[in-house]
Parts: sequence; C-alpha cells; structure tokens
Amino acid sequence: MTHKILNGDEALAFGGLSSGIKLVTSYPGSPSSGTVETLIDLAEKHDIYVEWSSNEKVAMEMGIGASYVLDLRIGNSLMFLATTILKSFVCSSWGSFIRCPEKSSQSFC
Amino acid sequence: MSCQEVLVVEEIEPYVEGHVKAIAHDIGCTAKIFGKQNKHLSREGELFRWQIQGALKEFIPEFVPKRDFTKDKEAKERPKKKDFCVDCQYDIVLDKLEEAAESLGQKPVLVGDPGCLVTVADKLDAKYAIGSAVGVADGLSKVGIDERAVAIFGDSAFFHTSIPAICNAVHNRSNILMVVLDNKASTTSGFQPHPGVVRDAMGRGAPALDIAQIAHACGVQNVHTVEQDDLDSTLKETFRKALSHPELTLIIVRFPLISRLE
Repeated sequence: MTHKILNGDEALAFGGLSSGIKLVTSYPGSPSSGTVETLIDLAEKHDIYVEWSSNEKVAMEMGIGASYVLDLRIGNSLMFLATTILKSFVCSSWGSFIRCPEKSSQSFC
Repeated sequence: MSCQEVLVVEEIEPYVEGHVKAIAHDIGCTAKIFGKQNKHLSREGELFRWQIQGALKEFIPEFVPKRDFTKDKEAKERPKKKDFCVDCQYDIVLDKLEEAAESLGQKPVLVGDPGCLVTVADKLDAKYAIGSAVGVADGLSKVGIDERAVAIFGDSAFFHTSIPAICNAVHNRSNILMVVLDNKASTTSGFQPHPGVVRDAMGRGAPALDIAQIAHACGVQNVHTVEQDDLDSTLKETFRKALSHPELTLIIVRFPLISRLE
C-alpha cells in the first residue's frame, strides 16, 4: 500500500478524481486555487476537462450544464465544482447539481 | 455534552454563521451563536489578528493571548514584498495619479478591487469585491460627491465582471475615470490565466482578448493605453488630461514584464 501526504487542497482534488469527476471550472483565489492547480497536473492522465473561467458565475453555470449530461443519458458524469466567492471563500459543491429539476429536464429533453 | 455558546470567526460575509444558526434552529439546539451578525466581529474591513484576539477575549473571559496584537501594530507586522511583488509598480501608478490630481487641485475618491491592489490598499478610499470597482465608483458618483470617482482594477477583474458595469456606466452617462492595471495574469492568486492572455489553464496557446478593443466596443469614447516603460514620461500627463475632462475614460496601464504567461 502506497502512502502519499496531501494537503487539504490536494486531498480535495484526489477525492474529486476518485468520485469520477469530468469537469472542473473555477475562478482563481485562495484557498481553492491549489485544488484546481493539482487537477490541472492530473487532467491529461485522468481525461478530465479543467479551465480557469473568467468568473464564478460562468464557472458554476458550466458545472450546471455538465451536470445535465446525466439527465440526457449521454454519459455517466459527475460534476465537481470548486469556485471562489468574493476572493477568499471556498464553496465546493460535490455533485449537488447531478440532477436538474424535473420540469426543466423534461423541457431540456 | 453540547456547547452553550459558539463563536464563528470568518472572513467576508457571515455565511457560515448564518448556516450554523439555521442548523441549530432545525435541530432544536439552544446554543447562542456569536459572530458578525451580532457585531462580535466587524463586518467591514479586513479580519486582522487584533480583532480575532478581541473577539476571543470578549467570548472567553479567562483567555490570555500569548502575544498581544494591536490595531496600530498590524500594518507594521505585514510581510515585506518578495518574489514577483518586488517588481510591482502599482504604487508608482497611484503616486502619479495623486500628483496629477494635486496639480489640478483635486482629491479624487479612489475605489479599488481585491487582488494586487492590496499592495496599495492604504491609498484607496474603498474596496469591495473582484469586478466591483466600476459599479461602486459609479454609485458614489451618482449621489453627488464633489470629487471625481476613480475605479482602479486589474486585468483579471476586467474580464471577471467589470465589463457589464462598464456597459452600464456608458449607457447611464457616467463620468468616472477607470484605470486598468494590466499585468496579464491573475497575479495575486498565482499567475492563473484569464481571457486576456495567450495561454489557457492547461498551458496551451489560446486567443487573447484585447481590453482596449472591448472597452471601445462597450462604448467608452476615451480609451488610453500607457506602457510600463512610459510611466515617468506619459502616465502623469494622461491622468491629468483624464481628470481635467469629466467624461467617462478608461486608462490601461500595461505591465507585460511581470507576467509569466506571455
């Protein structure tokens, strides 16, 4: 069994990877930047999409869009979203947008 | 054992505090929850160690800090500029603006954004959130302050949420002066790219959007660009001209040498 010492940022990144994330969108700002930087380094190996978005709103909406994939049955996607609100507050949402509301998913489909 | 009192110490808005209160309510917990909502900690300004110490002292009467932090010592205890900050010339820009204003007998109200502007925070009159400087300065200007309102923000903040505020300022006939300090990266948080630079997050080449062109397209009539090399010769005069004409103006000061993404 191999051991790896991780800081909190890295642990969040590895936790996201092992839960099967496909998309990472974020606006830079401490303390969440380290999570995304870690995922940038691992993106190719794990075939995930990572970007620095121009703001948190765009980052979150891209996450919401990606989460619709599950409803559209295109793929087995889980969404991971790390966004920084007002520069220093980390809001990490784990798969909370996996399902879109019933109504909108019907109209979407 | 359940606790009777909780003190929530957090930066910015009392977000955790509100949620802790909501959870406590839902589970019928009667513990008293203190923080920013009952003014145990200030909602304005940065959360410095002297404030945390004060809140802890008030909360735990027997609390004895190992070191005494005071308000007046806090500024002196801040870390010195190092690494890429050593080359930062933002203080020169602020000095030139001050000199230009003084020569006209003006004392503009300076509104900044978080980010690299923290290095000159003591010279600013107000600072709120990333991308807020234009809106905050415009709001100030609309309530009849005598002095010119100046919004100072970075290139990352420009693409973040300044563009809608600029459109709003043009449409509603604002006369503020906007200054973009363009160091071609989200520098404070670690040189992350934004739509104005030539690399994306993965390090691949990417189309870079031009701030001056976007400002023109948003309808700003007066757009000027000053290069880092011309700070001494051109910047003060550019500020002087902009401050003498109460029209919506955007000045871009470019610092391409700082960036690691070019």
